[in-house]
Amino acid sequence: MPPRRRQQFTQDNIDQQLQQIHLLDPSSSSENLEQLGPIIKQIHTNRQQDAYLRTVLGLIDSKDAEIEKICSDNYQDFISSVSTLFTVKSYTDKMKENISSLDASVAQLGGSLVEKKRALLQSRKTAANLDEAIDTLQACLRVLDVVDRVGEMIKAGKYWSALRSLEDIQSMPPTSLSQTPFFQHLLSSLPSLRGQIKGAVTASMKQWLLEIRNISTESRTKRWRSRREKDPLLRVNRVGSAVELVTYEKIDELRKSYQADRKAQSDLILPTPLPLASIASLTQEISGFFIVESHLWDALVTRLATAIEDALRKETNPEVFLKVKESLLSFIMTLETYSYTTTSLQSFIVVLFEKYAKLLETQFTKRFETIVREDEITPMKVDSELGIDGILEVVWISDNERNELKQTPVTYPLPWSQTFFLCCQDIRIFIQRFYAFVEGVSQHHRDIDELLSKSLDSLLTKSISGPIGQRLATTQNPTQIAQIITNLEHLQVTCGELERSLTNLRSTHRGGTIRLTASAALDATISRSCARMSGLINSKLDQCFEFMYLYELVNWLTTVVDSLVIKETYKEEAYKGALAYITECLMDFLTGRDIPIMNENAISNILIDVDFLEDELRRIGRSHLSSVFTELRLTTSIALGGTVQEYLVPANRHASYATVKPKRLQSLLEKLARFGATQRDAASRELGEKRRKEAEAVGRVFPGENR
Amino acid sequence: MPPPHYDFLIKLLLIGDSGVGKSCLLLRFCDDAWTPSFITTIGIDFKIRTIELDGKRIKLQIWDTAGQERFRTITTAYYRGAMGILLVYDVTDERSFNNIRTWHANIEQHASEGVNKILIGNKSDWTDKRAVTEEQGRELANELGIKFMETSAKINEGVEEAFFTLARDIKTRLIDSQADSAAAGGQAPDSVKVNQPAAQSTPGCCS
Repeated sequence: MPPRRRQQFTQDNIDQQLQQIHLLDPSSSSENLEQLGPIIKQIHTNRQQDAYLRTVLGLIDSKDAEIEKICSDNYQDFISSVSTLFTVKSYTDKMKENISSLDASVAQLGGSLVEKKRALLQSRKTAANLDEAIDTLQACLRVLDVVDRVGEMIKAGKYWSALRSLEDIQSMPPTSLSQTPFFQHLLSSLPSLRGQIKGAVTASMKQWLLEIRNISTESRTKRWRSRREKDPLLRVNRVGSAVELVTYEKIDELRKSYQADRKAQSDLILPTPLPLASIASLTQEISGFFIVESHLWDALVTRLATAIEDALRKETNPEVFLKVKESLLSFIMTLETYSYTTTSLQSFIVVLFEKYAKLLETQFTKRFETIVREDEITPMKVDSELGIDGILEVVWISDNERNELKQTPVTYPLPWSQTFFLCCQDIRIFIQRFYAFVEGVSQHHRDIDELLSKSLDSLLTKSISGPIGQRLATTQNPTQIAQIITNLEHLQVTCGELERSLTNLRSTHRGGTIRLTASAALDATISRSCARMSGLINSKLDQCFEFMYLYELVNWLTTVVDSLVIKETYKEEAYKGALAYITECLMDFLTGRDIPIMNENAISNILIDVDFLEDELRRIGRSHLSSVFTELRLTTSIALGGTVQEYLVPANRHASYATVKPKRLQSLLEKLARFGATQRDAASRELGEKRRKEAEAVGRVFPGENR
Repeated sequence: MPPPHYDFLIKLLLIGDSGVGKSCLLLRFCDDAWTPSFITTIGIDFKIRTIELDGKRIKLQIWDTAGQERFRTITTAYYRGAMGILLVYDVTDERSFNNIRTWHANIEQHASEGVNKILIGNKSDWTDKRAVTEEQGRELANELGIKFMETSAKINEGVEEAFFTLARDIKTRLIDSQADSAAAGGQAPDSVKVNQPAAQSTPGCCS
């Protein structure tokens, strides 16, 4: 480090430094010691501590001397000021004493003042509460006054004002009073006040009416009678009735305007179109609206009926009609309670009912047609679900048959097929639905029973008997035809049983006996069935004739007819028909145009066939049916026996040969004559010629008996 | 009565248990119809159909017998006149198949000697209910020495073939072998007719 020139501290340097740290600045209250650090550091760096200290000590000494000088000049003044200060201090203490004693006395006085002030505030609060209480009581008094006046009004008979006052009380604007138990109690007592009013009104009204009656019954009766004779509307009203009172009260004007209003309302009450779903609530509204006004009644009922009719015009579901009827019925019942005439509504229900019945009929027509169409026409079996008892509960049959069926084994087939059972079942449902509409309708029983019998008749005739008849055409099997006949016979029994049970059912009401005429239609269908059976058998016989041994034919016929599960009379008819057909075929062979020529052997062979048939009839116990061959036997006997001359005598013809048809006899003789003409031997030719002449004679003499 | 519109007349007979479908086969073959309802045949029924075989019109008179036991007496009376017999069972009913032997024995007992026979397994369309295989049917037919065929009257399968096969066999046996003698009269000896009594002795007395 190069030698530096040593700095010499002077007084000025120190002063300057001290100045920097504010030690010498009298204006500064603080010391700026921050400057001290760098100064000391600089001193230390320059290694001038000793020099610096020396300089500082010098400074201190000079300052001490300065202080001593100042003090030695002024200490006398200082001492005197101290004694002065002592004096001042003693005065001050005295004053302090005075002040605290004054304070104590002031505090003493203020305490009582505060007490008084507090009492004053309390009094003021009490006074305010009292004011409030007074106000409230006054309000209560006002209300009570009103209530009291209500009582007075009731006494004075001013009921309407009383009611108005009550109304006022109830609708008072909410005040501080509203929440008080007093007011609540008051409000709760209002209904009883109303009750009082009501009682008073009723009592006074009764009193009034009584007075009126007592005072002037006689004179009024006279006056009212003359009035009544003038006005037919009043005829039904008694003296004392409301109408009479009102008539003489002369409030016509009021009444008219009121009626006009209600008329307008009545026009508006029915919406168009009428929603069927809301008919129940609608009739309820109407009841509420019109229950007291008979003068609008007729018009309204007409409008209601029209509206309902319109709404139902396109309706095909009978259930909807049923619901409408139920609504109307409760409407009617409500009105009847008030003794209103409901005749027109009752008639309207009957109109609705006719439509309902028609729809029901349509619905069941379809059901019956389906039943008949889908039947397999085979005997119904007792199904385990229903059991024989279940089935017998549904069907209408004779008691005898019922008892028989109860005893037959379960596995045994029933006499009827599905059609009969299902028809009975549906007839029951139909009747039930039918009467469901009548339920609650007290009048018009005769009409409704008539409708029921008509409907049942129509159903049995058109929807059951008719389709069964149509089914015949497509039924090929004699067994099934027999089943159809059995079904139809059971349906006939059903008709009778229906008449009986329906009449019994209604014996509790008035009304006549139910009569069904479907029996005739069923008869006709039975006849058609028999004809169809004959037709089927005959067409088979036709085929038999073509290539079958006669014994085969008879075998087939007896097998088929005897096996039919059907009444004996029908079997008899079937045999009769078949034999007539066989006979016709044989007669056709003898006298028809297909075979132009024939000898006596041919006739003999035919007669052997007839013998065989008669034997067979005897074998099956039906000899009486042999009469069918009478014509054939007589005709051939005349031709073969040469008794034509005898036949030509009218008396004989009528007595012995009534069944012989001359035309046929003629034809047979001609065939034989032709055979004779073909022969070579004289005898045969001669016989032939004789027969030709006989044929001519038979044909000539009886032109009128063409067949 | 108009003269017959056929050359030959063949009488066939359907036998088998109740419910195997004999009447349905007949209804299908003669009327081309079908009905699902089961109507028990009472005793006996017959239907007619004219077919053509080798240019000849052949009238088939087919007797349908009741399968039920109670009609057995009535039905056996018809065996003798038959020229061909269809033995029918139901492929869904094993019992009806097992009974074929009994029915065959009945034929041996009551029918004319040499009558043509065919075994028919009906209801072949009812596959999910099948209880008798085609093979079983064929084996039985072989054993009995007769032809075999499965049919379905419902879907009209094999019905024509069955009747035609049997008719052809009969034609071969009865008509073709006697062609010369039959040609003169144009009639099989069996086909006697009630409307031609002059040509035949009256059959009425044979019963």
